[in-house]
Amino acid sequence: MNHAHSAAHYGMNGAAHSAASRGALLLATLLCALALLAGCGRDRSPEGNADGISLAERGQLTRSVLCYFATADGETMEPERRELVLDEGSRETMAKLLIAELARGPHREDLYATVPPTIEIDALFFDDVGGMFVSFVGASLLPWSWGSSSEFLMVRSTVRSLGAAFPSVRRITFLVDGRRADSLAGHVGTAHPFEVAEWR
Amino acid sequence: MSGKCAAPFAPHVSPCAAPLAALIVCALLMLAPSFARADIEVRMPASEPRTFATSEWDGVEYITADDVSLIYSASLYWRPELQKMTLRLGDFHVKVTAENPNVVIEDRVIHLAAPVLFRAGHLQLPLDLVTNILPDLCPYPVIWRPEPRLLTVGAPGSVILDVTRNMLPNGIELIVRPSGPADFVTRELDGEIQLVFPGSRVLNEQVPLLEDDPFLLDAQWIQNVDTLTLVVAKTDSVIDYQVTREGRPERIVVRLSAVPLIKDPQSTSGTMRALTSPSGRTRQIGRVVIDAGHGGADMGYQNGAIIEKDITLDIAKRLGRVLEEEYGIAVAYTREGDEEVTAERRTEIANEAQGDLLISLHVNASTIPALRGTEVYVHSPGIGVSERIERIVEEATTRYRTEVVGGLLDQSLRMIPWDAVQTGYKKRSGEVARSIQRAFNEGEDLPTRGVKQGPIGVLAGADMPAVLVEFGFGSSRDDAKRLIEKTSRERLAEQVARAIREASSG
Ligand SMILES: [Zn+2]
Repeated sequence: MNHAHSAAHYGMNGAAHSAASRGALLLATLLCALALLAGCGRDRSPEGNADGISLAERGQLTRSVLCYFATADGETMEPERRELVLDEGSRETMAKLLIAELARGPHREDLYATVPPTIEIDALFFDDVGGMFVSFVGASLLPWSWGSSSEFLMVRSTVRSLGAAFPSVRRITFLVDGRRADSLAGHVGTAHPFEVAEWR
Repeated sequence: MSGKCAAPFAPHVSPCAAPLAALIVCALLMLAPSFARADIEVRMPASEPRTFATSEWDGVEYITADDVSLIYSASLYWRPELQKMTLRLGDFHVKVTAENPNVVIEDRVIHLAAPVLFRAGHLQLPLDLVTNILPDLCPYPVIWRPEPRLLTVGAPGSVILDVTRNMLPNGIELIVRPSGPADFVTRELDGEIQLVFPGSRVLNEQVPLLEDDPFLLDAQWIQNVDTLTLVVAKTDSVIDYQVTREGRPERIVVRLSAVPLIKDPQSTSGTMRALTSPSGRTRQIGRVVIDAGHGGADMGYQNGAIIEKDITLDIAKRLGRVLEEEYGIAVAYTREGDEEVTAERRTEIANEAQGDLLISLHVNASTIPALRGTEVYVHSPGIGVSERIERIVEEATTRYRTEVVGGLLDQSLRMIPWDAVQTGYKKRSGEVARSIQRAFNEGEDLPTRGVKQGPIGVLAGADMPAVLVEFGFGSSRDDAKRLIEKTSRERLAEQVARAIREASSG
């Protein structure tokens, strides 16, 4: 591979360099000041309007979502409402915050957590045909009471909560460390996406 | 893989603070004469092209570590007190230290032309590291074009290790070794055979060629942004060829032959294989493949004396003994010792053993302390996945019949993805599962929670009826007490053996 490009293709060189860079800086400074004057958050129009992220006052975005947790029978789910405060309007951030809420566990004492508190996401993205991809850091899944029962609960609660928060998402694929995995912890197959409509 | 997002739950600067900070930084940087900015464009799968700013410090172009983690979808661990950062990129840990030109990648040290810097509130990595060194660590193709300053990050695919060459009596074979199961398509174009691997890259591009090779004119790898293609040009002496995917070790074999090859029905491309419909099988269970869940470094559920991998192996051996000695049913095991076996390999062993039943043994667990009892699972991928698989099967079967075997094929042959084979056995698997659940009920050692269905990784590719049994919850004090006792494990094994015997005659 070519290792000699870095400075050569930089776009500016020689004597013009430093003057141009100062000019660019002045412009950047001016733009920064303008951004401040124009008020915060104006240019941060949320993407993913299909999923209705609302712009609240004071430049922060809030979004009310339902987090589904397990009931004592280990079969059914009940939701708790959470207000997510977003610094920016991307669906990706919102989905990550939602999973973080699931990992924090329920407030009600008769409900149970379904997602390990250690969970980390190394990538999360949407495609434009109703698909969502969540990649978990493999090591962050490990310290948890895994069996078929708890693995199904995690899938069900995550798919259901994300499906409720993003009506445009029809199927969710779980990845581990960015790759398709046989399963999250040895039981439930994750080679195929989970259809939101089938995991209620 | 898209790099749209940063490390999880990373704190964000509020929208108000960002321009303010930028203003201060900009003002401060006015004083630094060697500073300048430029951009690179980055294309990532399933997202719009994005522009990332670079900065020049002391004549070297840098990009922030945060941006690199976005571009490569890498996890980033930053230890400010040590000024050290680890970037986890696929299987590799890349460690850098501020003001230091040495980059540690696993046990290798690479000396960069310029040091990593901590400037403007960010760890700054030399662009050269990002465009020329990190791409080699990625499991998917990343291509840097200096001219339009474009970095293209491909979709995750397979890594092809190398190609080797074998002589055959009337031809040769090229053996392509992927690092794991690789999806690919085969096509013939202008007399050349092309194996196209989406989103893949090759480690050793050398293809062994002989001078005046009687069968092989040329063979080479072509790396594109989205695909990796092995182009094989055959000589005129080759009158037939075959591309097969073979397992254990995973490999793809291209056979070039001077005589007609006997077509193996499994010779095909990608993850497909040919199968005849399972209807011809008898209901007799003459051989059971017993899969003791987990093993080796994968301990399964652990809680005090409960170590899932040990309990499953113990029950597996007890079950095998009862089946063989009391019912004369042959037994094969996916593991007989404390070893780690992948889900795919477990299924492969079962299929190679041509069992009449695969039974995977596990101990359940939950954070709900009151949950206890046995569960028996059968594989069911869901309606959406089934429909998609059905479409794939139809397309692949049609293509196979028309393109590969020219319509000469037995009409009962269908191309089925590996991991959809179990679907054809769902009814029979359900019968066996219910028989096991009944036996547990009668045994009264553990309460029963019924037969359940869902996508079960280890069962999906089994070319035989298959069930997964969860022998109670290790997380329940009552169940755990039973599972620790050898006598109750023996009774549970006897109950399962009896259920299999009953399902066999019923
Ligand atoms: Zn298990």
